[in-house]
Amino acid sequence: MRGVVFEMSFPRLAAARVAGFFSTSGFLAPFGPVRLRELPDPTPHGDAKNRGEWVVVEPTVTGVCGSDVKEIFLDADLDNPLRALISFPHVLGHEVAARVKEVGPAVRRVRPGDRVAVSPWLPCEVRGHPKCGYCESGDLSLCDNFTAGPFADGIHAGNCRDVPGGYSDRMIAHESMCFPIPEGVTDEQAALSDPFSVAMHAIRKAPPKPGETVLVYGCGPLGLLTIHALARLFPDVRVVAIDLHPYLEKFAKDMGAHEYVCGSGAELVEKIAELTSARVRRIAYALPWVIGGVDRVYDTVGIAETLETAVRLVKPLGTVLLVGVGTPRRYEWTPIFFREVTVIGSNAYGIEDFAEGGRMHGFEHYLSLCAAGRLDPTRMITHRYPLDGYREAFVAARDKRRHGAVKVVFDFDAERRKNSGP
Amino acid sequence: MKALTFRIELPRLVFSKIAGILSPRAYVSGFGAVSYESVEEPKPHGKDWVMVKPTLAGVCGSDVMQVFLEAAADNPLSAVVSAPHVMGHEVVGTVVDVGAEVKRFRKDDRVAVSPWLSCSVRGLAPCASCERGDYPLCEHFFDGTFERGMHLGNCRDVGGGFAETMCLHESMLFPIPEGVSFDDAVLADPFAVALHAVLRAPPEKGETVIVWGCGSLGLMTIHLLSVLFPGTTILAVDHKRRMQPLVERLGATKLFTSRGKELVAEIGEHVKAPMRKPFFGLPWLQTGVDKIYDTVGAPSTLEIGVRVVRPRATIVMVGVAQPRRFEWTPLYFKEISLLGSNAYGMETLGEKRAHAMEHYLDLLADKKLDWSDVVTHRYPLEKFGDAFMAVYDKRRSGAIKVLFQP
Repeated sequence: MRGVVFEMSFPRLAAARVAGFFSTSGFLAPFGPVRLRELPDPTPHGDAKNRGEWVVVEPTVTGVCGSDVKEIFLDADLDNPLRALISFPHVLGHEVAARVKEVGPAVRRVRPGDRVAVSPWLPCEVRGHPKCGYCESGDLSLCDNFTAGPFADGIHAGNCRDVPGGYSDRMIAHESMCFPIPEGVTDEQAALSDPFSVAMHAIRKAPPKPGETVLVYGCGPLGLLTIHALARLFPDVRVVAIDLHPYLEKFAKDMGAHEYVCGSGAELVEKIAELTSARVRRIAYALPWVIGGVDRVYDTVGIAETLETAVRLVKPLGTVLLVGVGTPRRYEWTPIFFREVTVIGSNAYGIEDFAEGGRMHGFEHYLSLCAAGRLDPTRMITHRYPLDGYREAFVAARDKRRHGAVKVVFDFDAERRKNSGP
Repeated sequence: MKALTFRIELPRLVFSKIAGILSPRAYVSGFGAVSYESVEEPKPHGKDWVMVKPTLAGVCGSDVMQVFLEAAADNPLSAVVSAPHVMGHEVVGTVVDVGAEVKRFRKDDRVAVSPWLSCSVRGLAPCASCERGDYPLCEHFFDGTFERGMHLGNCRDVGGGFAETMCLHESMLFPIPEGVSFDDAVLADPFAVALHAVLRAPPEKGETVIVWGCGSLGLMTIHLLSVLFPGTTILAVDHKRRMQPLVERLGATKLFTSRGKELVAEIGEHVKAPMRKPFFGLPWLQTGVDKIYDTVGAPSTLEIGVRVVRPRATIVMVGVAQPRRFEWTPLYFKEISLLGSNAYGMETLGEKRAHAMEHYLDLLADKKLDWSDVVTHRYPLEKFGDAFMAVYDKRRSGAIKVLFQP
């Protein structure tokens, strides 16, 4: 099989740093850490007892996640603690819709030929480990055992040496990772299960009350899916979307945002104040803040600049949800204590209690709402590439504005159709 | 009258920054931003104002940050202060005169002072925050009859407690019950700050919590946790080994004095949490303690804090330090809640809703608290240099709480 591999080798990292200095695509040079390679087909994991619970799938659509882009373009800091939970080299990609090819003897949930959305997380059940307390309560992303056997360390497919991700022709998955795609739901819709579930999980941690005004900071895929979930599932809430680029307004409004505000820093604070009829406290040498402010901010960017602004836009005792995975930098955080802001971190998703549908996995919730016609965020998919177009795909996902990109995906069926064509 | 004033004047700032390179003493030499001088007697801003003679006034960590000019230029609180002002906001004193419309106080009453200058003090109708009793979240620190300022000690028109006389609105005063000494009552402000922080996220029965920092705020947090929330396992973190006997007497089971990697490892061993070791950066605990009350609030304490709590834990950030970068990934990965906590207001403790200072004075009157050993130094106002230096260099002075005796 072919797969886009990330290799943690210092000469390759150094080479990419140098080449990347001259052009974005330099990070993807053949001597860098990211390459499309021919690999041996993966074999299902586990001992004789649980080997039967794995399936082999062929990805049909795999989304390019912002965290992959950060990894590929070497944006992470050296002191990132999650390095303790992952293993190299690994095949990237964790937003996967796929078709089941083979199933082990003990598999009950799926059959060959089934279309599935693949949840990439590798918690206790996938590892054949007795469930930890967090897995027991459905909080799969908080699992204690991402470094427990029988295979290499890894939080999810796409950062584990032994469970290749979806930038490949072939994956293996434990059956608990597979969620059948209902009839009428497309593979592209299904490939957005992961980012939608991330957005929904964050909203669920601090759901808006009727009549509230909330900000969604960032109109990348995660931000747009947050907007979509808020607009479709919380009808009495006013959703204000924020980003830096005018081209995103169309997407934000399309997903259901009531207002789109373009800007950053002091200008943004003024605009939001005007929109919410709040007073602005202007300060020499410092970012202004609003007196009053919005009820909640869903920060899907999670970098220093967005946090610094968010804690100034939220009202006293308000909540800032940190969903985005930015690289940590200094920011002026005084309003957190002075205005008694609550900053809540949100990580992925699991088995949750949803207002609609009750207790289920985030993927099931999303797919059932898609099937019911309540959600359809696929208009945010702007760019589709075959796997061997991975360089163009990653550059488009990195230089979004230049490419007018929002969500970039690998479309394997297009590739297969082309290959089998006349 | 004589008072300690703070002046934001360019020559003074330049002098202290330059001479301060040679010795921190320059900041408190009298040529820096702070000086001991004669100022006008304070005047009432209405008929419901009260003249108070300060008996004792505590030096707060924020006073010291101010004196040694330790705020970053982009600190937004510069919008809620006005200068020059008389410093000092942890005050107890005696009423010397009352306005015609003052109802609750008479001459010679002993009072503890809440320094917040929110709506009622400014003669305004209460904003939404004041209505709820969240006075530090008041929307009107910039409005009303006198200059902007959030509390005593940073407002030009209402002088603080490092002075011979103060003039205060009646609503800022709380009578000190009989049998409660000025010495104990003067800790009302830091106690109230600690109480509010704990009530932002009170420990549940049987939880293990860390109190970060063993200055007076940290010590009070430890003591009130052990008195009001029995059954909580309290761990303390501070570099100062000498704090151990006091910390244990106030109710903590253990004091951790190491830093960085060792600190993470020691806490991990103590709470039996598996440790993850990335190739670079700090190690972290997969599980950990249930809550942290961070009375330091510095990048280093936050960085280690998010690494030693369990998933979905709460960190209450009550300390006021300068922002810097810290590696915050566990904040989202462990889904931690970081709660800011600012001062105090009306608080619900058990069945009773009252101002935090009233709760404190009640607890003192009921002999529930024991603060001996917390106050370490006392100075007259003219010795302000020694007083601020004692707090600035606690390691050398051995100071915990330093008081002025105006």
